[in-house]
Amino acid sequence: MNNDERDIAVSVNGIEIVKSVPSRMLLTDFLRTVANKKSVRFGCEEGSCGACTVEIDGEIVKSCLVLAASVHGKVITTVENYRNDKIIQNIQEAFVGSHALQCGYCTSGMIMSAAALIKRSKGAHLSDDEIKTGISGNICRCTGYTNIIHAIKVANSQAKPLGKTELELKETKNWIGQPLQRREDVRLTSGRGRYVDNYQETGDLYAAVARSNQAHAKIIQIDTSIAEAMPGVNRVICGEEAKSYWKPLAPTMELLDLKLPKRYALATEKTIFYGEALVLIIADDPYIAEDAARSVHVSYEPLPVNTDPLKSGALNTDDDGLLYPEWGTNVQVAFEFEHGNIDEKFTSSDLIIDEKISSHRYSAMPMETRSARATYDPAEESIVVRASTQIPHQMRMAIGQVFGLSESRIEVLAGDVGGGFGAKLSVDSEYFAILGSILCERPVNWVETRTEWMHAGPGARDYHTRSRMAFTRTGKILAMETKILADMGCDGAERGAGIGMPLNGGNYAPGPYIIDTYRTHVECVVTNKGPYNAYRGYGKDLANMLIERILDQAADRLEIDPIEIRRRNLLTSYPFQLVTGPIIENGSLRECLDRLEANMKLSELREQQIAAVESGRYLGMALIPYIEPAGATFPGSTSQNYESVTVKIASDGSVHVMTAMQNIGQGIETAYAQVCADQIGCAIKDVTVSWGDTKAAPFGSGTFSSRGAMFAVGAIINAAEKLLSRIRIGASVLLKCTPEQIIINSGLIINSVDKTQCTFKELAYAAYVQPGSEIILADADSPLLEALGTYRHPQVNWKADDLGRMQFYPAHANGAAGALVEVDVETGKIDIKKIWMVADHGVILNPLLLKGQIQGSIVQQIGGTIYENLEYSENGVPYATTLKEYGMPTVWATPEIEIDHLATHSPSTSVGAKGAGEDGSIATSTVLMAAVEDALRPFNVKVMSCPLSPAKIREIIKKATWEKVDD
Amino acid sequence: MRPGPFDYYEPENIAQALDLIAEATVIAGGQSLIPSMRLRQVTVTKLISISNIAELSGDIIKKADSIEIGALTTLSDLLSSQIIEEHTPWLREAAQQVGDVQVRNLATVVGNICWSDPRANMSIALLASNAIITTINSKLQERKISLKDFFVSFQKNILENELVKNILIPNHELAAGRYLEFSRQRNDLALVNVSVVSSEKKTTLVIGGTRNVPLIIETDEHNKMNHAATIMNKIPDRLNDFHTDQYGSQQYRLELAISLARRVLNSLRCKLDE
Repeated sequence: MNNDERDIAVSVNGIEIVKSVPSRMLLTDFLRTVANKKSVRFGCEEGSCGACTVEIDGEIVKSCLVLAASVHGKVITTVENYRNDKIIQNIQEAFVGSHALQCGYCTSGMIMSAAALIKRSKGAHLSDDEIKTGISGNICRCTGYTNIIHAIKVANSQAKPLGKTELELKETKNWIGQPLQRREDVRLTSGRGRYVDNYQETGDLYAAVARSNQAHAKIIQIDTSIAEAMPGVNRVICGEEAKSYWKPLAPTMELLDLKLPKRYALATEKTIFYGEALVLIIADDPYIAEDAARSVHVSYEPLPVNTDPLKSGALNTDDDGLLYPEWGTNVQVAFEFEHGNIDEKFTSSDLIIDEKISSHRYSAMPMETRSARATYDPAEESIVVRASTQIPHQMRMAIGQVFGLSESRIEVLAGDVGGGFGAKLSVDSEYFAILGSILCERPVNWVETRTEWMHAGPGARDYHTRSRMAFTRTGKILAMETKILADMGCDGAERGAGIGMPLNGGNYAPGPYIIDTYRTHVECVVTNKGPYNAYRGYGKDLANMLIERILDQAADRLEIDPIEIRRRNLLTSYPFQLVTGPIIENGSLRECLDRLEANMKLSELREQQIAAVESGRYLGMALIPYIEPAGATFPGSTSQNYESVTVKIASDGSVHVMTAMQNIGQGIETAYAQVCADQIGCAIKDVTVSWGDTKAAPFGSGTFSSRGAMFAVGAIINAAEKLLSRIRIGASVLLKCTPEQIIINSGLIINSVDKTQCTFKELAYAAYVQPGSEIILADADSPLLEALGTYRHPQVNWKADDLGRMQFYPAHANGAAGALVEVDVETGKIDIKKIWMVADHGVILNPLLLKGQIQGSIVQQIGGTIYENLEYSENGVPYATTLKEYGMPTVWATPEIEIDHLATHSPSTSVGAKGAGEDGSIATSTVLMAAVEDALRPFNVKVMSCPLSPAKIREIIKKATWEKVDD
Repeated sequence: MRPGPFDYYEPENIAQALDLIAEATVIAGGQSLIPSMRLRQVTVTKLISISNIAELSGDIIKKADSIEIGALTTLSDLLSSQIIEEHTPWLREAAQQVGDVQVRNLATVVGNICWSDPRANMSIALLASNAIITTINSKLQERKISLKDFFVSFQKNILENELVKNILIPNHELAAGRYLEFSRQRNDLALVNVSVVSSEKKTTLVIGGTRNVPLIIETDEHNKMNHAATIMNKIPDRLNDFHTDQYGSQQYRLELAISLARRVLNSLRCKLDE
């Protein structure tokens, strides 16, 4: 008997499958490839994410922790079986109805767990704790779990849906502002998501990578002989050889005087971080590719390892600790700004607060890792690349540069993307699939493992700062100075786009306060760690921390109420120009703070706090304002100051919006349809929104920094205006009136004089065919019912003023965040009782989606503040390999969240919407630090750095207690 | 990541399994083993699944002098057992905190122990319960080993070409017990976990999250819970049983152990007073 294979017969969703499977084949692979059940997904290696959850003989399991060989005779059910399973179907509907998913990557597994929970409870009422227990094995990175919990209650008949269907809203005159359920969700809840690895086909090849286990070392020799001899291995290629096929990585940013590493995707000569790719292997299947990668042996000569950015930044030309000797330094970029006589202000002040503030390294960690499938055609010299990216057009550019291919022959396709959060704004590992396909002339897939993400994926934050402020006795701010040192890891501009984060921190630290004297020094230093990429918040989190933490100290010292000290310094009128240049166009900072104070019932909380201390419990609360600069545009970068769309009306009257914005879970398919229906006046059901196709959509910078609501929406409106003039002219011919007499509403085109009307379908057919455009659109600017729309934001300024100030962010949303926490002083554990937000994003396109974004950003940032950590040992080895070790927030991390809105229409965007969705990312760390500090007031401690891990909190308390004893 | 190649066997009886056991790895639920194989931290050349062995039970049985937990009993089985709820509810407290629903549906109680991680919830709670394990060797001889003698060091135990047939919890002397753990998020692997079981004769406190093997502190005085103080006094001497890692120092772990032990003993005292 051959024991490396086994015959199994299983039932999958009622279909009997008989197959001989390799002993080591994971059930997830069996279901995805043999049974073609693509809802079952990999998100990790250790069975913590639950994206692979399926039912076996009526019990849910993680199929990635089950061998296919062991399921002989079993009955397996996946989400795809919804048509035969009323409970699964109910949950799907509830998820759609309450916006319980964003990117959708975790959703199938989550639904299976929810179904098991409801099946077990047999209709009994489910408590929050029971629901959380039921889904604690499923990680969702987008939603913050709040709406998932709600949807499970809906499915169990305990709650009403949060959103409305198109049918329920059919009488509506304005789609903008409606809590419309998402169109994406029917696809995503039934296992039909279009993620990259769904496109793997029989005959495809698979890439794996051998990586360095040294943080900084010369590569002496690479022995690939075992790998090359393995059956099923098609190609093995090392960095040196690969140089004849590709150029160094293409940068995402070249602004200021920043230095670029010009590294290749496979290391040559030396390795500069643990986990750097050294050898690419292309094999028949992913198992063989991994075996081959494991067999590669590398000998090294160690070089000094830098893990401390302070020491790393101080190294000089001759030091062999330099990552890139040609730079002569480890500083990738330094930035200074100064305005006003800072020393004089500090000298004449009544109070100076001077604190070191820091935040550790963590990562965006979307549920879908990076991946790509490339199909190179040597005859055409063309390539089709499917990738999990936020930036299809930028990726096309980068591929063209790196491989010397014509951009016009490169097609980047990005379907559904399982989360991005800024971490998919660059291209580095995706080149593996492309090189593989060029070498083997077959489709090649590369899917990053979670371990690879941990070791070589993008990190973020990692700020080491000092913030110093001068005050008058009455709490008026006189001056501020910030010094920011940020740890780029091996790079923040080529493999990632993170270098702007600390720069934003320095630029926006004065925040929404009246400060005319300011100095900042920002230094971005490379170390022997993985790369540094953008992450939701993008340094606005740092800016918030730098000022708000100091204001709390000042309030304490001056015995002023912490809200009052803010009221004394907040801007008083709009537009308001920050000392560093950006203009806050309008807003409601004071109003949000007032509303938050009322919503929190702060005085009642204070009473609870006092009562709690008497019974040995430590409650703490805080509230802070925040601003959310949105719509990033940078010179010398792939973040341009415009976005474009094509809107096409077909001969049947249906409307197609095509955009270079990428759907990564934020719901553009729905929100853009709302905007388009309002602007053109067509029926919303006739609008289709598509994205992620560089051949179909016009050029755009892609999805980041809330560019959709501001730029893409403007572009849709611009295209709609062009089309409307043609529609009016056409309709005036059909309905025998003037173009001005045409009214368009909800899919009907009406002659306002005689009330005769036609449909979009009738008009479009008349223009396209009968009698044709020569008659219908003779007087129009174009005979075609298709239009390119662009939107260039008016409030961007790349030309520096006399003081060297520019404006990169055109709009500024604002808000206020509050927190109530309890600290267990014996263990250091923080229990977040509640988070409040009052947020102002201008006109709200879809309140259902907005709330979902805010909830998600809060829980994500709770993760970063308390649990998540990408820490390195002194040898440059990352501690975390798995999501559990890393500290990914599960449903247990979700506190009660209350969100309220104000709406100050933006004067500078087409519909008055500002950016949204970073609220929690910006304010949560700061407000939690402040609340924990407040809870620990009896110990007289300061909380100035993240993570707020239990061990660290305990350390802070102990230190304070001992200092007391010493006194 | 995916496991390296291995031969896979599904024997139908104990004798067949033990014929294969030399150089082999045994899998039941595999919820710790498969992740380690996927991460290629553990290399397996021969994998023996015991799930189809009819002689091995997945039941929990109340016997005259003990409760018997079969080798194939999953954590979910344990959580739905009336016997456990009635007689050893602290095992429930321990099992509830292991992994998640999916993991508990496959992970076995015996597997949790055989993995021999000094943080494994069931090891801690069963040690406190003075559990005994029954093993069987290739000559089909059974032996009974006190769980206290089972663990050798981190992820190492005394099993040698044997299978575990069941776990016995002697029930005549049980009075009350608790299990409590400190983890970063609920259901995470514990940083420190403690279980205490108090009977007429003695109180046993077990602390997990230690460097090599769980820490066992016993008193055999007869006056029920008054020896809580004795137990608490012994913990600080055991600093070197703990280790330092990215989640906390040796000292922090010791403090957690003391804090959890105090809480567990207090709540047990309340329970006994009822």
